[in-house]
Amino acid sequence: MSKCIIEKKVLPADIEEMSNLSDLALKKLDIPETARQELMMALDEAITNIVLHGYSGKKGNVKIIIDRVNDCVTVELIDSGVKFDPTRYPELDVNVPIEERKAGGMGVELVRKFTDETRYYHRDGANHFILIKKTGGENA
Amino acid sequence: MPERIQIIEENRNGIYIMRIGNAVLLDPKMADEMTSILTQSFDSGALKVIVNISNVTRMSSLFFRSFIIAGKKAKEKKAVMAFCNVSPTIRAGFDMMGLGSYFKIYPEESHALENI
Repeated sequence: MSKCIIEKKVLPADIEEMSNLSDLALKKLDIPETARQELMMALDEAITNIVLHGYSGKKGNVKIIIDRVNDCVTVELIDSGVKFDPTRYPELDVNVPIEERKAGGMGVELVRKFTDETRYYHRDGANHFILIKKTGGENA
Repeated sequence: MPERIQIIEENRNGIYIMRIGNAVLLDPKMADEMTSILTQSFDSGALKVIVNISNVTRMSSLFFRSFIIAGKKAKEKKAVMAFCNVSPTIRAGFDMMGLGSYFKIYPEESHALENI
């Protein structure tokens, strides 16, 4: 098996369940431990952003397609919430003192830093956000 | 349904230790609860707080935000907040957010108690 699909209508209270299902899928695909943990940190942020901002906390459909080809894992998140391209979101300046930082932006930054590449497109009213992570040959 | 935040609190010689029991910290309401518990501890006069997250395997930025709010409160009250037993992935998250130098992070609770 090299592909898992998870689809559910979610509320903020369901983020953890969606995350746990994704983690289980990554385990079933034998994604090595470190890569899995890092990818989950990114995936958790992406799911949270969709639920809290894309759907403003209201119930909305989230589909996650996880695919592994050799040493590369691709996770595609599809939602019909507010159109939002995370790849164009400004980078967080971590040199700005904590006291002067504006709220927001940390989640997108974690997604960027914990993945090797991110892609986005909008088609037929849906956001498609793709996370790519190389597993680097680490054993599961 | 997600659980509520699970915290075991201990006061050892004036140092408050908060051990988080949850393995996964993602729920937005739980993040609000965490912010409230930490800021209230400083409002109640705690000057040294150690947050032990040895059980936590995954955590979202909502909780990093919660720690930042609590960290600002600590600074305002001239108190200190430190972390211990942070997993390598979460530690990487702290560093990516520029928080690794803002907060003291100790490998073990005993180190935190000795050095905070």
